[in-house]
Amino acid sequence: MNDALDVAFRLIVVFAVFLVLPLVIGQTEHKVMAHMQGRLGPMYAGGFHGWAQLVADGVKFAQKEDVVPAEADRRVFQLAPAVALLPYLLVLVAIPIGPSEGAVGQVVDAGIFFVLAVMGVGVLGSLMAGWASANKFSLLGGLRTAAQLLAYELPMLLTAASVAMAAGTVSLPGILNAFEWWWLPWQIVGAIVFFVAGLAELQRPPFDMPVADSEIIFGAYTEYTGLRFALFLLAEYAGIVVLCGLTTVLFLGGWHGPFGADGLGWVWTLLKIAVLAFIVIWLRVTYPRMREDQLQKLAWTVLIPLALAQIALTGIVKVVI
Amino acid sequence: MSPIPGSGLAKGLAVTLRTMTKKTVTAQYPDVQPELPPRSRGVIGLFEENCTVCMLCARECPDWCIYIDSHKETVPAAVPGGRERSRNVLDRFAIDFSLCMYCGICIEVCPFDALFWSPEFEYAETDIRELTHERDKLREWMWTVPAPPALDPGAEEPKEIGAARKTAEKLAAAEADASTPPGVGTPPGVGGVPPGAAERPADESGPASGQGGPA
Amino acid sequence: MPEPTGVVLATEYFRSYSVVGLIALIGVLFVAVAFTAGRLLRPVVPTPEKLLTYECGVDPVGEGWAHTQVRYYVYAFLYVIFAVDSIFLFPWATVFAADGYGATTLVEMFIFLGFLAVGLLYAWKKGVLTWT
Repeated sequence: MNDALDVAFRLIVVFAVFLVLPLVIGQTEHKVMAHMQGRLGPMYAGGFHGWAQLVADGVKFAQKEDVVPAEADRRVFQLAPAVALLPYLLVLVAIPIGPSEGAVGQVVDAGIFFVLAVMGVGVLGSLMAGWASANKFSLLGGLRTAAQLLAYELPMLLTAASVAMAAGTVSLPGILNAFEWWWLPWQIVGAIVFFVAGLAELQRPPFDMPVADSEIIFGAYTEYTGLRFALFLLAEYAGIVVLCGLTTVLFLGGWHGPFGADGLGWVWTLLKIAVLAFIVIWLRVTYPRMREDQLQKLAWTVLIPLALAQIALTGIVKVVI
Repeated sequence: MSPIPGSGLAKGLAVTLRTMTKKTVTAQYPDVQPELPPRSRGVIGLFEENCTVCMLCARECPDWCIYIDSHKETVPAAVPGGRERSRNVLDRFAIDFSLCMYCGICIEVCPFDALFWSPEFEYAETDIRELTHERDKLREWMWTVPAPPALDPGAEEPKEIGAARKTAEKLAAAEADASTPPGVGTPPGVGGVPPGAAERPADESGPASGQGGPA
Repeated sequence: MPEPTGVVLATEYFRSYSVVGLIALIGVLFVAVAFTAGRLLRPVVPTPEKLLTYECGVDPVGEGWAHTQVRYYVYAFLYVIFAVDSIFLFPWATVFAADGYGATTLVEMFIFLGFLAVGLLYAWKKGVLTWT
């Protein structure tokens, strides 16, 4: 009984994090992006500097009419947002926050392997959206999305494999237990490659070409309105949470604090995730977007060779030491 | 020397970060009213007392947005045996702000200073017919007309202020003249210029020979 | 440290994945609840114009599914090769540094990766990776 309660509690916490953190990051993005552009951002919703803006947006989306185009594949069209959103929820279960045994939703022994496999399912959501919309532009956008997500999945896989090599395990709590401070410079190339590839996985600027307004309306999501559209957006922000969480856990030492100050591990984790989320927003504001061919070129000719080099380095160091 | 690869990227990041730390200049209208410059053209006010219904403003308006109606009235002679005068009386004065292009020609051309600019701009309406402001509304706008902005320190004194000041000095000189008996000391009429006016530029002709005092 | 027995491992395995299954169920429920709430809140006023395909505001032309380029197939193919390689990488990564393995294991894996790198290089040289 205790066990069942414990599991229920964990699931509720994970679900709450899944709903709240993306909204916090979204609101931060509104404000940070605004100030970086010399303006104020939302100020009215909720009274104090517009903190309730995204809540208001959620209510707005819920009461919008649901338009399914006449020629679309109805069921596939309707299910695509769910397929894009749920993988991120599953991944959140496996990310550890603190040092103790209980500081994770569920210890999944397949760890990073499970995480990456599940994230790969998210690609299906975009493909379903693009195909089912019965819209040439959606189809083209969906294919570009799929090509981009596939191409950038590989550097993520390879660099994550490098960390697994360094730790000798694929379980995420195991990786954190084995973390040493000198992993930071050792895996720095892998960290940058993972982060950049993750940004492209999420289709965040500067890699948002398939979903950019001025490029192809909204790519695979063109025909979506209201709640389904909101779920796609929630998926993007949940993805930011997941990406920052994964980068923290794999490359930045998760709950480890500087100079061994490991107490209050979850504070360190949240701090690192916050800094990484800020960097994600910062990159969005600063850089123009890359063209499709530049995107692919970056993945295949820069990131994958770098990831392979990182694996080579990790392997040699690990065997030699 | 070729730039380090990636330096442009880093510079971009620095720019956005610096902008984030600076205070924004956004003014949150309507909680905060905008700071309008002096002589802002918002709306036109009519001071009926000055208007002689000469119709110059209606004639000169490029958009024909001023509507004036008037009639003539006879005024009895001022002195017995004199000629009767006729006066223009204003019936209707309306400015159609849906047509007005805010050029200000009507205000410039009015010889009697009956029209004034006011910086009020919040008079949007949902019905276009309400944008034609009649006499009463134009009089309301007069109370929002600000004082004219101060002249530069080195500017010439405005003519009307100069005329008013000279009249006041003449009156004061005449009074002082009347209060002191003649023959005591230098008659203040000689030279005729009170000490305060000695600094004025020499192009003034009035009080310099002010023996006669005011007419 | 004694190796956990097969039964314990199995229960642990199933337990962890049943929890994952539960969270997936919670997610599905969330989506269902959200859509139901939406259905209660939203208006339903379908007009033919609303149900038309969106093509930047002009009337849609032709069928809904356009011709696709072969290029996407090539990228997917390359991806499959590398993804299968990565799958082999993960189990190897957990054991290659343990006692009994060593430089030999490393070199074996490097040969494997080398084949794939050569494949990538070949694709690069053939011009497959540049967008036409």
